[in-house]
Parts: sequence; C-alpha cells; structure tokens
Amino acid sequence: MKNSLKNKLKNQYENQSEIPTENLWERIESQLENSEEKKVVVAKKINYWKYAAIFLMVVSLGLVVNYFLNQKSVNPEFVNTEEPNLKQNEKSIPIEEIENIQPIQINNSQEIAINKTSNSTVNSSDKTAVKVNDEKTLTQNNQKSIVENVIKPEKEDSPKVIVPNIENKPVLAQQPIVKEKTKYITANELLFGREVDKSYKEQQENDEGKMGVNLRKPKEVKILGITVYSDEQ
Amino acid sequence: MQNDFQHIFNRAIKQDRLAQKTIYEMFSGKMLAVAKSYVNNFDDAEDILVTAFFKAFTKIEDCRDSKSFPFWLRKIVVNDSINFIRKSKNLLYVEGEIEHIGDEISDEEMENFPDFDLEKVLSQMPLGYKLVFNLYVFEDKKHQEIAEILNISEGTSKSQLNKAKKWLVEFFRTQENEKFVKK
Repeated sequence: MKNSLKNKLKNQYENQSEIPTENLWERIESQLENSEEKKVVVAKKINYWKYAAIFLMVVSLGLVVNYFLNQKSVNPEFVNTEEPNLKQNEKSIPIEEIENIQPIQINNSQEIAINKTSNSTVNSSDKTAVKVNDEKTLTQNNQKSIVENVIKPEKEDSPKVIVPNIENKPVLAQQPIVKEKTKYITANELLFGREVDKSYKEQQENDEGKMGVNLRKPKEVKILGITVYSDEQ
Repeated sequence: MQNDFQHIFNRAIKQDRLAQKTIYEMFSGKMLAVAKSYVNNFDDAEDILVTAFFKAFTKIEDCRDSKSFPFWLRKIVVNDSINFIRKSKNLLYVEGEIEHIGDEISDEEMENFPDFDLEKVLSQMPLGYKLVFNLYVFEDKKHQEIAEILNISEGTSKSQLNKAKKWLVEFFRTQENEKFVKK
C-alpha cells in the first residue's frame, strides 16, 4: 500500500475523536468505587487473618513453653524420687559410723563400769587390807580414790567420745559435695532403664502388630495364579 | 505539559479520583473513536471504554511511566475491542492462501484516491478484514503479530489485508461514482 494513502488514513484515524455520553465517567467511577470497597473488605479479612495467626502463634508458644516448664518441673520429681534413696545411702554411712561409734561408747561405758567395779573391788580390798589405819582417813582416801577413779576414766574417756564427734564433723562437711555427685543417674541405672524399655517394646511387638492389627508374614503371595513371593525361598 | 501529566499520572497511581477523571477526559474521545473503529457501534464502544478505563486505573502500577501510558491505554482498548468482537460475533477466517500476484492492487490504483470520510470507510468495511486492516494500518502491527493476536495464520492475515485493500479501491470507485451521479 502506498505510504501516502496509509499516512492519510492514519492521520485521519489519529485525529478522530468521539464525544462520549455524559454518564460514561460515572459508570467508570462506580466500578472503581465498587472495586475499592471490595479491596477494603479483603484488607479487613487479611487483618483478621493476621490477628488470628498472631493469636495462634501466642497460644502455641504458650503451650510449648508450658510443656517445657512442665518437663522441667517433672525432672526434679524424678530426682526427688531417687534422692531419698540416695539420701538413705548417705544416711546409711553415718548410721554405720554411728553404729561403729556406739560400740566404742558402749565399750567405754563398759570400761567405765569395769573400772568402777574394779575400783570398788580395790576399795573393798583396801578396806579389808588396811583396817588398821584410821577409818576416817581411809574412807576419805577411798572416797578420794573412788572419786578420782570415777572421774579419771571419764576424763580418759571424754576425749575418746569427743574424737568421733570431731571425726563426724568433716563427714558432715563432705556431705553437700557428695549430694551434688549423686544427683546424676548412674550408668547402670540408665542401662537398666533402657533394658526395661527394650523388653517392654519387644513384648508389645510380640503381643500385637502395629495399631493392634496382627500382621504376619504370609507364606505365599499369589497374584493371578503366579507366586510373587514365597517363604520357602 | 509533560510534567503536568507526570504529576497527574503519579496521583492516579495513588488512586486519586480527580486525577483519574482528568486522564479520562484527556483520552476518552480518542479511545472511544478507536473502540468504535473496531466494533462499529457507539454503545458497544462505550462499554468497551468503561472496562478498559477500569482496567487501566486498577492496574496502573503495571504501566512503566507516564510517557508510555497513552500507548498502554490504547493497547488495552484495542485488546478489549478484539475480545468483544470475538465474544459477540463469531468470526471465522477461512484459511486463505495468499492471492495471486496479479490480484495485488497496484500502487497507481492506490495513489489515485479521492478525499474520503474515514468514519464511513470504517463503518462500511466488512468486519472480516477490518480487524486485520485496523491492526496493520493504524496499530502498525506486522502480519506475524496480527496472526498471533487474532489466532490466525500469517497467510490468512496477508490475504485478509489484500481483501481489505481491494475493498477500499472498490469503495473509492463507488464513492467517485456517487459523486458523479450527484453532480
């Protein structure tokens, strides 16, 4: 096509203009307003979703935190249940020590008693042996000797009695350190727990299949008469 | 002027109703003529214009800048017009081979064209070739592009344009004859 005609056509076309009807803009405007209202509604919905999402987040976070806190509070319970045993073990040591001490004390008292008896015998023998001497002096001496005898063993015993007490004190001081150590579960206990779990699981598996359904290996699987799987192989 | 339009364009992006109305007043006349050149009907053209301006204002962010806005808007109008024709009128293009070279309109024939009323030309041209003719002449589309837009083969596009040319020559002839008769 000749450029002159094309240009003329084009020029005329580009200069063409129609006057639209008056209400045309109103039609466009109403459409725009409708779409904006829809947009607002959509925006509101999105906001609600946001709030819902935040709410869910907070709730789930709270649950998670609560769960962990519970776990933490449960752990001490576990420790507590075991602690008494450990404490008993700890206590058993002092009890043993005390038991060890008690005989000593008893021995001491026995010794004292023996001393007392011996003294009394001595006194009696003194009394019998030295009758010539003035009874007063003798009795005084005897009394003194008795007193001395009675007191002496006590004096001799008292350090013995106190020594174990002093020995007990360092034991008491060592106790807190021992406590910290005993907080941990021993390897044997852990292994034992694992063994118990294992045996429990095995028992469960043996008792029933998964989800309570008995799934046993079939001896043979046939599909359309063809053996797909057989146990003999 | 350009700065003014830039300012209006920027306000229209922010969905300023006044700026939108200003843009509408600037382009509505021209766009209505473009739409009418395709659909041949004033009311249909106005309907197309409403949807086209609505699209343009709601998706104005897609337009790169204020300079390209007029072309962008025109593209929307043309596309909407073609879609309208597709929906309302069942257009069927016969897969036409390119006509014989002998049938090509000679340049001399096209050179001796009388004064014409474009509106009359566009309103009387059959819809079949008018789409190709409009796209080729007024939208400066190549046959390949027209083929893609109208979902036809390139050969069909060429043959349709040739038919349009033939029709135009015939139209001029009859116009001359009418003038002669009137005189």
